[in-house]
Amino acid sequence: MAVLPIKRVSIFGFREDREDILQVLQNMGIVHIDEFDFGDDFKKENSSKYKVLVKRVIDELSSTLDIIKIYSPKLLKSGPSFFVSRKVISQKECQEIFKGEEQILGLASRIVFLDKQINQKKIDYSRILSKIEAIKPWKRLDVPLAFSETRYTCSLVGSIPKSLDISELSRGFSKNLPDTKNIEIKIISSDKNQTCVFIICTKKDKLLVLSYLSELGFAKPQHSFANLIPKEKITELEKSLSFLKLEIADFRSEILSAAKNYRGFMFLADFYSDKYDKYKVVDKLSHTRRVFLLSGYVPERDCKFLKQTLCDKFCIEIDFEELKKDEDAPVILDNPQFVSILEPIVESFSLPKREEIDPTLVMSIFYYILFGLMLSDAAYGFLMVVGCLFALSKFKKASTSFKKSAKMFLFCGISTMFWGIMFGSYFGDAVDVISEKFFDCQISIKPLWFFPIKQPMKLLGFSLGLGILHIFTGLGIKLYSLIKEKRYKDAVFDVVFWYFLVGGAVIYLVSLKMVCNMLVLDFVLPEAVGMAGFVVAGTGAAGILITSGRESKGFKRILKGIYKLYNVTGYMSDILSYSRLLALGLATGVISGVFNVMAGMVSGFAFGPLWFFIVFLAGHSLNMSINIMGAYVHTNRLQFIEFFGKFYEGGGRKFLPFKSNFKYTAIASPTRDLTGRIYPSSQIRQD
Amino acid sequence: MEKLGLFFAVLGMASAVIMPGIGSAIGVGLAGQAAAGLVTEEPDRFAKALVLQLLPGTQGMYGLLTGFIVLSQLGLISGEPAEISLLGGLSYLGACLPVAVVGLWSAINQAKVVVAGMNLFAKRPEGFSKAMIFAAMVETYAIFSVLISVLAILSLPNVK
Repeated sequence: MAVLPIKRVSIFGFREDREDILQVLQNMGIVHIDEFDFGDDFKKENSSKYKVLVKRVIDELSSTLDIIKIYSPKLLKSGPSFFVSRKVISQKECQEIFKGEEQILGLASRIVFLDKQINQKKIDYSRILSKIEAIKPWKRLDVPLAFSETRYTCSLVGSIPKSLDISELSRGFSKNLPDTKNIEIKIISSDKNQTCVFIICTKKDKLLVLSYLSELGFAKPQHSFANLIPKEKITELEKSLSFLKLEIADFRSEILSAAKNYRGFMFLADFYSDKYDKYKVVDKLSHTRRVFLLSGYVPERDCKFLKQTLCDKFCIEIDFEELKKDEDAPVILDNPQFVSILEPIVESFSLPKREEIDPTLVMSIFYYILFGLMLSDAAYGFLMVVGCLFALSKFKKASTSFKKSAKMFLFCGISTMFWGIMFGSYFGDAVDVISEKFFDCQISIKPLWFFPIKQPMKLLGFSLGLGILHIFTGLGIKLYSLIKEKRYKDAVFDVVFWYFLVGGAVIYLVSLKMVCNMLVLDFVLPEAVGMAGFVVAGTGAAGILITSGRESKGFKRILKGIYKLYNVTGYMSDILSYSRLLALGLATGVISGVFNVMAGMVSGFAFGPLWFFIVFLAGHSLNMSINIMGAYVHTNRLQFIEFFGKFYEGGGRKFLPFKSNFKYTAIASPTRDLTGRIYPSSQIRQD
Repeated sequence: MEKLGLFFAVLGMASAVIMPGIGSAIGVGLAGQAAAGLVTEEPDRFAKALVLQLLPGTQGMYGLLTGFIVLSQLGLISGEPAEISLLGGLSYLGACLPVAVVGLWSAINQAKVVVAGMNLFAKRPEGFSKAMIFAAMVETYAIFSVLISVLAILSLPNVK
């Protein structure tokens, strides 16, 4: 339970060792590198030139992987997206990949190129298709579209934007142009939008015919291939279509065969993004002509190890310094395994400041209890446990954050089982319903403690009591940290008086018969104890009134005291807030009951069991997922608002060590000796 | 006139289911639109966006829960409706009001917080749990209302 003590570290080294030193630091992953300004003698170096190069490789590799995902999704699949599991690469495979690096990178850019080509070809393909569509109406015409005249006649080829048949058309001609006899009309094709016609008339009639046709909306076809006979053109186009198809298939199979190197792509993508990180660090360093200076933070326990490893290998100067009083150093939490599971939750609120107490340990005691109480169903808990164990065993190489949350839900599940047994809830009242509807007998599992639905007030009392305990624990931590800082007066005024007031008030309330009846308590405190509680509460209130405004004087001091005393409503609402434990617990149980009743409704019929199965499955998965979510959110809320509100400020900066971040792959048994390079040295030189 | 008791009790049950149901439908709808927008840009965040979208849906469940308890107390599930006085029926109606009214309003307002939270989550993936907590703040009042409704309904048979 602690914020790990850290030290400021500065490393001076020769420039020619820089790459190697950074590589070692990246492998160790224990130094948080920060940017410091050391004055004018040192200069920053800009490595953006290399960064651009490396970034290009990374982008190419990641788009290669995206492309492979499209063409051969099975290859990369390792489970649903939130169960990301990395591929394991052996040492030997690493070496092989490096040996064939150029080839692999070549393949990657080839894949990207081919994908672009395929997309281009697809566009061409659809363009040709639409061309064919455009000529199709002219398919029956056996002269080129541009065919315009013979010696005495002229021909008009074009379309009229409406549906016409031959008799309509010739009737139109004979009516409007009664003098024109020598005219031959042919309809090539007709659909509901247009009619394609081929008309031959004598040259002298041409203008007349044209003027009538233009009334009908006649237009010559706007095609670039007017000199060819449409049918021939279509065959030609179809030929190129099948050619394109072949080409696309070829490219596709080439991509698929190149995709077999996906492990290489993945590994190199990881390798180069590590390299990119390294260049980012280079930007933070300070340089002179021959020397570079690196500064950052390192956990105190690792100082010796760091010094030893670096000094063994390189000619450097390394210094460790204690942190200055108000230095904004990054924070790293250090907890035993069981407790560290909940670090991400604390982190999502805010990390503690360096001198603050790490609340994770105390929180982890209450976290599981509260979660379990809210979900409180043994079967749901059991399913959670099984699911988490499965996920943990299946995805061994998953990221630590995934593992931590899986473990967290595992313990939440255990607590849920515990409370489910206490309250006798197994898929709600499923046992009762099944035994009654299908086996004609009454079986019900007795709760170890009581049925919340039968005695809700009892659970309400328990919830509020737990809430008081939780809040008092929070206050206790504040007391502890104040005493640690030797601020005894503040400890008494700001914490002990509140203990008096709230604690005394609770004792007084429990001595009242009415309250005890309401909350179904088995006992009533004697009146004298109640009076004592009352007096203690009064003392606390008076103390708060007098001391809270102690930094001000006179009238203002009392006003401030009154204002602080008003905060007692805050305590009340905090305690009442724990009634959600009852409400969410009831919600799980009763809604399970609803689904059980729905499922059991048609038990008399033949398809009853099937119906039961389907409704039961659907209903309970819905109820379970919604209530797990609810329990998670509200447990966090109780921790963040009611509990942290009493003592915790947060606002620390996260310790982000410079380390390798492999996204797609994991190297099997990386070299034990952290300083050893996983990569052959040729890979580490400047490009 | 005596018989009206059952009617009012059923009216209470209906309002406990209808109003939070409407609220949740509106709320989940609003949140869903925002979620769809987010997933257009970031398909990987579908699962988490879905969780956020579901948050305003709980009010509907609270309504269902209250309605179901009333149904079973009235004996309407077992098919033997209880004799209930006018006062009793009106009391059921009154007891259902907290969850009915608060459920409706809180779901809609929670949805607005979720939509804003969706923006937060779109810009900062690590802000997911914070977005959830903001929405949970609103839900608190729905929980309080369902708690009081349920406690009142559970103690009503003693009143008769």
